Amino acid sequence: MPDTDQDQRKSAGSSSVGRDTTFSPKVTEGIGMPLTQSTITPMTMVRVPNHVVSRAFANETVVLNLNTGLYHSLNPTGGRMLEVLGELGSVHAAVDKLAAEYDQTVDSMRQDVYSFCVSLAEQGLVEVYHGHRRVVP
Amino acid sequence: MTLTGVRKAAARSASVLAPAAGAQRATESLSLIEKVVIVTEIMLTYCRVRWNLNRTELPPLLVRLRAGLGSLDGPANDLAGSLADRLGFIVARTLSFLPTDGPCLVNSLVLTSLLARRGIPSRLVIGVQAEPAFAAHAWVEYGHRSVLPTAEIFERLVEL
Repeated sequence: MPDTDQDQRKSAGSSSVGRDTTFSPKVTEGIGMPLTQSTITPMTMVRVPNHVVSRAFANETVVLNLNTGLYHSLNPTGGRMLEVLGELGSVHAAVDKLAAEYDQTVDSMRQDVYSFCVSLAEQGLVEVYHGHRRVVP
Repeated sequence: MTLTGVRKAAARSASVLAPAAGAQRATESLSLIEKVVIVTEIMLTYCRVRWNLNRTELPPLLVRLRAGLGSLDGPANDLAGSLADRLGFIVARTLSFLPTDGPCLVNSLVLTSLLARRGIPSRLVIGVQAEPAFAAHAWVEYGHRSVLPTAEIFERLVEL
């Protein structure tokens, strides 16, 4: 299970990893569509916004949200998940790829990825879309 | 000195240590008046940065501080580099006397503004160190060379 709820460090003051350059939706804000694990489906798309940058280290991935000034730390699994989500954009495709990488069942990986997406979205580190409608946590 | 006088001085201060002043000014000592002018400019910019940093996100704040500046890219030149070095030293030294904790990000934004006012493009770089303990640092670069103190332990996270 990726560890995402690690300590947040206030900003002190290789660039981003895994930005999806193929997914450019026209955004219609999703009104009254709370983001929970149950609202994420295989058709859900995820995008790492431009104001989120990250760098992978040996034992963690550091993610900085330039808008909030907060740093976040992901364990290696979480860092890899963020990278794959950013590259592929599609939650469905990311689940398949990660399940193969970590030799896990798709069902098991799906729960982890869904939970991870919700956590990331709550911190403003990813934007979640159902079609062209953005789901705001 | 009246407030109006201070403002006028700050507006004129961009001529102190500016490329248009010539290469000689990059190294020769500043007069007392010039020192007062540039310190005033630094302090006014510092106040502006501190005010905006609590109310504005970093990327749009940088855009605002760089208003009027052209492209951030382009060939570096020795004169601008020398001036950037000197201004970096003056900013770091001036702000080190403040009783408040002088975060590197604020210093970097102040210097970025001063350089932009003189037509010198610069990059604000944020770096992080993951081990042995997490640390983050911000500094300013001109021509891929740091003009504010930094350390090799920080891995580059983003250039703005």
